[in-house]
Amino acid sequence: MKRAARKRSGENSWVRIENWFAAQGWQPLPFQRRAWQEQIQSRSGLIYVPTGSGKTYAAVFTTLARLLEIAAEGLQLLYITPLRALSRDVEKAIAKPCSDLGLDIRIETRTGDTKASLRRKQKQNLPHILITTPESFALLLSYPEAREQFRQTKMVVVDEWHELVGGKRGILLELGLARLRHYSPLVQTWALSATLADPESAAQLALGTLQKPVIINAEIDRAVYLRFLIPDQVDSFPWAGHLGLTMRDKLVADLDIGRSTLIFTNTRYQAEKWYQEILDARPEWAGLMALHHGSIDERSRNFVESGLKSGLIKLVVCTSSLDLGVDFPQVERVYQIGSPKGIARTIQRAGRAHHRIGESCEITCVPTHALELLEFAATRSAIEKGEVESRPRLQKPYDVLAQHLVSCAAGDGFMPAELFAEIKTATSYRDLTWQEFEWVLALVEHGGQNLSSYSEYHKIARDPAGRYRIVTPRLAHIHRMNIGTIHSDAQLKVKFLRGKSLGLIEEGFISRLKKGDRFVFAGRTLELFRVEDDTVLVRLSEKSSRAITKWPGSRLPISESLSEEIRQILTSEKKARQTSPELAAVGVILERQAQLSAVPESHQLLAETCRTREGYHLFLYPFDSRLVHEGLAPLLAYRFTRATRATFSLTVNDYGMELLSREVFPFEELLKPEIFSIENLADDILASLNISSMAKRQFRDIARITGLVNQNYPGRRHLARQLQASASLLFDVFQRYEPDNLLLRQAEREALDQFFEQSRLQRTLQRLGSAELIIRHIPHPFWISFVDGARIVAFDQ
Amino acid sequence: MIGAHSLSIHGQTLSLLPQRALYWHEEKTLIVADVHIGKSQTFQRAGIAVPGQVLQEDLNRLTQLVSSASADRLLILGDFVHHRSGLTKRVCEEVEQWCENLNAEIMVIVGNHDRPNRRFLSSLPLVLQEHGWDCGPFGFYHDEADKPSKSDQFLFFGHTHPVIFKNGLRLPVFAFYRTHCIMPAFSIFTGGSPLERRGLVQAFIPLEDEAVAVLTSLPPDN
Repeated sequence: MKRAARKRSGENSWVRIENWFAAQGWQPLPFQRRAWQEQIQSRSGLIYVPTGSGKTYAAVFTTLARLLEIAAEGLQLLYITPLRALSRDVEKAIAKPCSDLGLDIRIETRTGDTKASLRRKQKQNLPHILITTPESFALLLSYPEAREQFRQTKMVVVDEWHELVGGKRGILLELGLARLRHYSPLVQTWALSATLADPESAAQLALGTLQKPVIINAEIDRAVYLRFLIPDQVDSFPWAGHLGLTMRDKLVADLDIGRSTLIFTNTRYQAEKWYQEILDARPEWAGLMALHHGSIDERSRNFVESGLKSGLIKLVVCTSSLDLGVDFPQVERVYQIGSPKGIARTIQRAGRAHHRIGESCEITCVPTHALELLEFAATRSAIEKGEVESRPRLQKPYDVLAQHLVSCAAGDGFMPAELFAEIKTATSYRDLTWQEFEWVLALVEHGGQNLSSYSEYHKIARDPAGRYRIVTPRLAHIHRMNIGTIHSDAQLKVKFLRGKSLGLIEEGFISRLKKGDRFVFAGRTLELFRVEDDTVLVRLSEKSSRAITKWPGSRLPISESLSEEIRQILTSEKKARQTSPELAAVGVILERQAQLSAVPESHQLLAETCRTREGYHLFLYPFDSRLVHEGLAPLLAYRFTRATRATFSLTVNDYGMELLSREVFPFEELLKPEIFSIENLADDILASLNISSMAKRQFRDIARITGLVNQNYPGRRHLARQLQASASLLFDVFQRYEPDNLLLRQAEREALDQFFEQSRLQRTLQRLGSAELIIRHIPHPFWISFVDGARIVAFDQ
Repeated sequence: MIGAHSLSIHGQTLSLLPQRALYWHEEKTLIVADVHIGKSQTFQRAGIAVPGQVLQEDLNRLTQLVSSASADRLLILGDFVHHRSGLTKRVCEEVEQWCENLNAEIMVIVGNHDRPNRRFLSSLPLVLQEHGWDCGPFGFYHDEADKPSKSDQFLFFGHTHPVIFKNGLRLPVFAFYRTHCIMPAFSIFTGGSPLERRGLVQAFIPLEDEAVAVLTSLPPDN
């Protein structure tokens, strides 16, 4: 019956597709046609066009055309998207032409939210088109049925590849795609991406080492305009801080509740706080406003998203939770509070407005302190020049490989030599050596190098045929529950005493609170009542919300391209000031700075010394990012103390660093180009940085990905409690009993890579070594208030 | 006792030892809390690779402490064992042998982790105290919740593993309050919950192999 219907259609499927486009009042774009042609030629590649330009249709119609002509069973098209919320939109976007064209196929979504009954059905028989996340895909591969299920797959599409590429999430997906190609050798891979610095290599990562990518880049002009809310009185505008509430009235006056608006913030705390402040200023907007961030209850988030689409909700204060592709064509205006710290991110967020093909987008930037005006100006200038940052890419992480090995053992099982060859086709692992592979295999098979200390350990083992398999169904179950590389802290449910659920919150935050302590969550001021197992019971707080506990959000360091741009702007600032209102505003501050000290040009390095009650300060302004300063400050302290004994406390932020000594210290004398030498850099870094504590930070993710710290256990919560150990505790235990453990090495390497992989620190040192040094003695610290900087461990020699 | 810090409470002499133990001189009793025997084996059985030397080293440290203090009694304030899945044949034999060879009476107050493993514990040559143990001016309990409603004794508890965090380090502490002391967990492979600051009189940090540090000021509460 099905077959008959299709035969009757007779005419060329592409003609029908063209007709369908015409019926929608559209015409396929040139880049879409080109993509279809390449796909018909069985090629793979990357489609690289701005968000909202019609990538999805460029990727899927070849499959639809084929299905219009030949009936096929089994999974034909696998569509992977990094965001669960996105999958529903993609499903709808594909289902529409299918039903219009009378194509009777199954199109389904499978994510963590998919109902168990549908998941069971899918386990027996996957649909023709499956839309899923990288994690759900990894999960499918960990079942023994995987080989049979993916045998037929003709095409895999990876959406928003720029979000995944080079990170551990993307690398796990690379391994999964290598597995998929093993099951279905002819499968084509198409990655879809927005603004990206290095499309060729990004494409190679998606395709693996065996194919050469076709790159399709549409010249779609989607101009991004940055608009600024400038404080009336820059003089009295705070020089530090990140909430930016002094801008409240100005922002509220600028808002138009009649037009659909997103307000992006950088941390959840900031989102909560701004939501409350706007509500305080405009209580009448209560029903029209909503809050959206990663900790809010899933159902409330869905409610906010659909409210935004239907127009019931006009104003949403959010975090990066709404960064990605969910389509909100209704959104007319986008605000960004605080610097987004990167060029690509600004473009991405601006793109949330008028998410339609060919329309320009505008983002209104609200600075939270004076120097952010500089960051905004730099962002604008970079966007005008068409610059975007490239993201550092990890190389062959062992933790991701360890997880993949266990997944393979839980699925179809594996023979080591065969799997090794397959893994090397994943571009990120192309340099993996057999020795490294054996190490990781030993790690999951025996627990570690020293067998006697792991006598009770078991996880995977060889079956009589020599194939590695997972040892027990229960271990497979635990493993599957913890697949993936994105883990947050253990999350606890937040619930009212009466039972309404509000969302999830990190255990680490709650453990710092006592009964009766207040905190702001999900737009309400709450009072902690009791923690029961995995639930935090709260009630509404009657008291004012002033004394509240804030929870730490990760604040992003600014990107290298952006810091470069800031230095340029400082140089050109005098001329540019007339044309740029944000620079005119910050100019007030810069003029005062020039009077009291100096404004460094891009070939200069400014150092300020100062004496206060606290001691003797050196402020240094390389204008690189916090990450670089975090490495640079201890390095300089180390080199200083080789000349003269001293104890420093170090503080860094995105603009510079402070070295503070209680005793008098000859900073001026020792600040010479030699101090920035790159000779013996690696040794000096190791000697100066507390690598161990940095590695410990890095180890958290590694322990989770490797399965040393599991977040989820089936059923019996009792046992789960017996298996709780923090990553930092495990780190200590390993350091003590197995200091050469490979995962510790990886943690160290990742910690060092933060500085070395891009050799960013080295480039900074070279720049500083040849810079003209300006040293000023100042009466008190004023330019960059380090109140906001992160004080790092005291340096003692 | 090298590095020990001595205190006098209710006329009794107590030494806080850098190895996370307490020595009561008058009763010749060495006191520790939360040993969690077999914890790394529990992890291993669940497919989590935690080095197994933890067990051997914890037991060795106990033996050494008992002999260097010439203690007559080892008092364990609960959570002697971790979980039954880690009490494999090998572990049970090792613990049994250790008990037999130890040159002191062993007294274990039954903690929440011990309760499901009573059968194993009662097969060992040691004295089990179901609820707690009162001796002279002191009372010893596992969990603060188990204490008698009214008591003018000075009490000792385990259970919560108090720690402070400083410079990225997790430091177990002896936490002294007006009426009681909470002991640090003895085992190396134990986490902890932040020290309760309310009512705290004084805290001491046992710095393994070195000394007991008196905490003069608390690090900021993040």
